[in-house]
Amino acid sequence: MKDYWLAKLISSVQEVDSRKRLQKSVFLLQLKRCPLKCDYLLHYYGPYSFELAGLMDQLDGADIIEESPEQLGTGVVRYTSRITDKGSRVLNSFEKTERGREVRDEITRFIPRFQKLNGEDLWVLELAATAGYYYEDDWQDAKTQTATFKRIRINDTKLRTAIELAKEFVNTR
Amino acid sequence: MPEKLFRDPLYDYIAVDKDSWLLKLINCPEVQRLRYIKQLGLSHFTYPGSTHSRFSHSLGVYYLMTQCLEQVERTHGTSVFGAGEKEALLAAALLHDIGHGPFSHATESFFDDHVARAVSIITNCGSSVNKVLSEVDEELPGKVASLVAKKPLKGLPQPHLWQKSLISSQLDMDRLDYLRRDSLASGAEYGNFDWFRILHTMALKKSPPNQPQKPTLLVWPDKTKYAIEEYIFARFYMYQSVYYHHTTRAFEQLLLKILNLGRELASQQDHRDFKQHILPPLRPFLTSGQTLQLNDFLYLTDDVVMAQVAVWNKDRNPVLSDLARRLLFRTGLGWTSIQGTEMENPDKIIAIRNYLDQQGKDHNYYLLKDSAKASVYNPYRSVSAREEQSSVTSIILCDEFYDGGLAEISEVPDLQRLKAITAEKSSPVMRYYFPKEHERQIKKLLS
Repeated sequence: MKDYWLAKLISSVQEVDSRKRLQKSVFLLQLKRCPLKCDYLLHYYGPYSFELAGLMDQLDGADIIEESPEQLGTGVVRYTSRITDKGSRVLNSFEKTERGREVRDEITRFIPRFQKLNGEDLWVLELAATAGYYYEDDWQDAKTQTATFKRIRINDTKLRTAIELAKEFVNTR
Repeated sequence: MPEKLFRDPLYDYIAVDKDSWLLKLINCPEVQRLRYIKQLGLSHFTYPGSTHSRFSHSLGVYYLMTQCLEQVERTHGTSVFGAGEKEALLAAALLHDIGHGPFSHATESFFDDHVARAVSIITNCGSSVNKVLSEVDEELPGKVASLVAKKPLKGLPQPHLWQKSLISSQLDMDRLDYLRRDSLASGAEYGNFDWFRILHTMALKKSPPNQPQKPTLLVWPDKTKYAIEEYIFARFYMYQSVYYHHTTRAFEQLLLKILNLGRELASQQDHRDFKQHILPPLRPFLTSGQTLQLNDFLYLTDDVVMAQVAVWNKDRNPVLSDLARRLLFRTGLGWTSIQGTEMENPDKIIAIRNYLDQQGKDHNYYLLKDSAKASVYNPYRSVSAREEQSSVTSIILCDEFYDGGLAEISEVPDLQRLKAITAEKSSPVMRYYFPKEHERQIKKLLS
């Protein structure tokens, strides 16, 4: 029910302002055992999941979410995603079924965290997800690897904030 | 130096120096085991010729890597490779699939991620491949593991991105081999494309300054664009007609269901004798409290799984024996497809479940669900990937008339045909499989 869980998360906010934000937010939620369990790789901007991107394509194709592209000045396209009217109806009607209630309960506790991440500084989110990806058992090591990978100073203020954010998701893994 | 020649249906002969460490690597038990792992899972249930192994594919990837390295050297000179990098690439090509469980991808959700296991075998001092690699250079196992791994490995230097993309990207040696090999073996002729041009025109190019990390990229000249287009179409057709064929997927889902039911029964206290009939290589996966040892994994092959299914064919649990029989004799599965996601069709699914339960066929075991991955519909991720996807996995063309000298394949104006299969977003289709004898009634329920 990955498609449902993803649609449910997106429906909990007015919009997600970029695919990057969605990718990083879901990655951090998965560190907290969010049921989506998408496979992630490390890309330039941090953890990236082809599977999640594919799910977004499917939800878009099914007209459950709507993605609006915006051409940025740098030659990059940014996609804003939001739930559609049809998507809201599908979610509501599915949640009235027994199966719908079961799977809803699995995602409900992650919604407040997703909403919080949706308001987070995007750069901090990117750094936090990257640090979470590198973390094994040593935060200093994850911080160093993130700084090297992102080519920033180890004592960068936003990196420090990002590590604290990542800790919220990794500590109780 | 005398050569060991492997006859290969795609490349005629694959030659390996007889005294070389590469031949020693090929002869390691972890690589030889791949002879007993079918490349295409249960695809031979649909295409009887698809019985080729991960071993022949691995040799093919190794061969393509030798050709690729020669091409890169011809174009850029030997200095493009650092110490040990060529050896690492050749070994990674040969070893990239050694972590596959029985029936390759078909059972990956049961036997765990094959890439992680490959890395674990390569870095395990007790493995034969590790010993062979370490004899060449003690840092070689780490270099090979870093090339194969999905995730950066702690304490090991990261390989160049262009080298990593030769092992895993949207146009890598793995795909160049398997599309044509699977096409040849299955007899489905959709997988052909001009691989020779793709391989012999690749080059390296510094990325533009706006790339976050300015890596060296793997690129192709404009003149190769049609060969690459053909390659992407080949991938699309192979997914549609071979990899996600409904019969193959039905029996692969059935095999997974059998294995999961076996695990469930093994966990029940009143089934003590059940555990005794589990074949040793499968025990770590079916019973709790047993850790998988490297030595056990060497014996975990397709044949062992099918032997276990044959044993379960006589099990006293009627569901397990029935499912085992259906798999062994490739019989008794019907199917239907439902347009849209599962959440869009709860009523239809509940109707099927209720019907099966009423017929004495517990839907938890007799209703198999299969959602095709997005890659079936999208053989290459392009436009939407511009936001995130790095050039590590994109296919990049390089020519002076492109803006900045580079163009991602989907942005090339002459290749509009590609958009039909890469940019279209279609509603997903869910497939459901169930006992064949109930097919007519279930289809009637849904109509």
